[in-house]
Amino acid sequence: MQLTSIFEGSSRFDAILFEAADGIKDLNPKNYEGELLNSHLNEFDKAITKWEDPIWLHAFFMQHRRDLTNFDRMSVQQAINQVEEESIALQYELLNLSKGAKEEDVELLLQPLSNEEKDLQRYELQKLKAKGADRKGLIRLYALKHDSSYVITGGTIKLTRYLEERPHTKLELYKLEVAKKFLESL
Amino acid sequence: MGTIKSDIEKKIAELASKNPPSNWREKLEYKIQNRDWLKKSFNVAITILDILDERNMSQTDLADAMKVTRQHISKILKGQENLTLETVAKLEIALGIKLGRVLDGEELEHRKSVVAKYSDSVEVDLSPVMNTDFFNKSIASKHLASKEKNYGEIIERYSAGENNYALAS
Repeated sequence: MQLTSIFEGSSRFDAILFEAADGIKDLNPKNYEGELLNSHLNEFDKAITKWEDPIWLHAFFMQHRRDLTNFDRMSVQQAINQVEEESIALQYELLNLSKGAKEEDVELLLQPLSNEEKDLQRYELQKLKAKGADRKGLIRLYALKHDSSYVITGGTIKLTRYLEERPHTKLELYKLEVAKKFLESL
Repeated sequence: MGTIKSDIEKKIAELASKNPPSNWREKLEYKIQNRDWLKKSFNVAITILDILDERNMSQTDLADAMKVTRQHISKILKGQENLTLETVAKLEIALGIKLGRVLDGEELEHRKSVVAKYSDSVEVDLSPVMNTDFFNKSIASKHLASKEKNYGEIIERYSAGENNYALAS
């Protein structure tokens, strides 16, 4: 497992890069178009790449279009546009935080994953989430708190109430757990 | 933020420094500076993807219709291409659409006018039928159901790197 700095010269935000396990031959897997996939990117860059890729977004929302009924029957095109715009907005917010934000400002963006922990004291290796725009935002970024640093473990599009309801969001829970064990081992 | 780092935090910083930092900031600055035309390119891409899907056309089909390479179509569909007027015109002719409203950020209402040509003299406007629950539940649902696997394959192959997590220690 590797770590990448999100902000050069600062360890405030890092991102996990999940390496392929030993014995896996497809270290550079290609998609159906014969193009290299994003497995060489850290989790933050991977999330951004997907959120702003029309091909990936279109395939994703066509596969999960029934879940869009939870969002006022938003059309696939509307959903794609919203994800792209949320992605830009989230990155902009992170960019502003990189310019010397207070801990409270970061905590406003990165909230506890569990809603039950919302008003409680933050703790070491706490699982956190950042939303795109507002309450009805579609994108999610996940991270672990480590002292005054934050390690991003992944990002996804959440269309259901619980992460366990869909394989792609359940995967983010798994990644949080794997990354937490990795950081505990340091 | 305190200036004294714990040993573990120093270790994390050391691990992170061994890899080149992410260049997402530079990319973001580029996206913000070129927001206007990039957004138009993005809108065109998702509109074309929608049309290709609806008509069961591949990128190769579109490339053949436009007499361009498939790689060129792939670039257009990535939504980051500074489209020339020539390319826009070719897209419009190949797909029988007008991209003016799409460039202005509106959804193309290409689904609302569908005419089936049964013979040289018989044409039937299927629009009223296509917008009914009956059509959506029967023909459309079967049509879409046949595509479920394809969408899954696309997502799976894009996410093949993530499938490896299951075997990661």
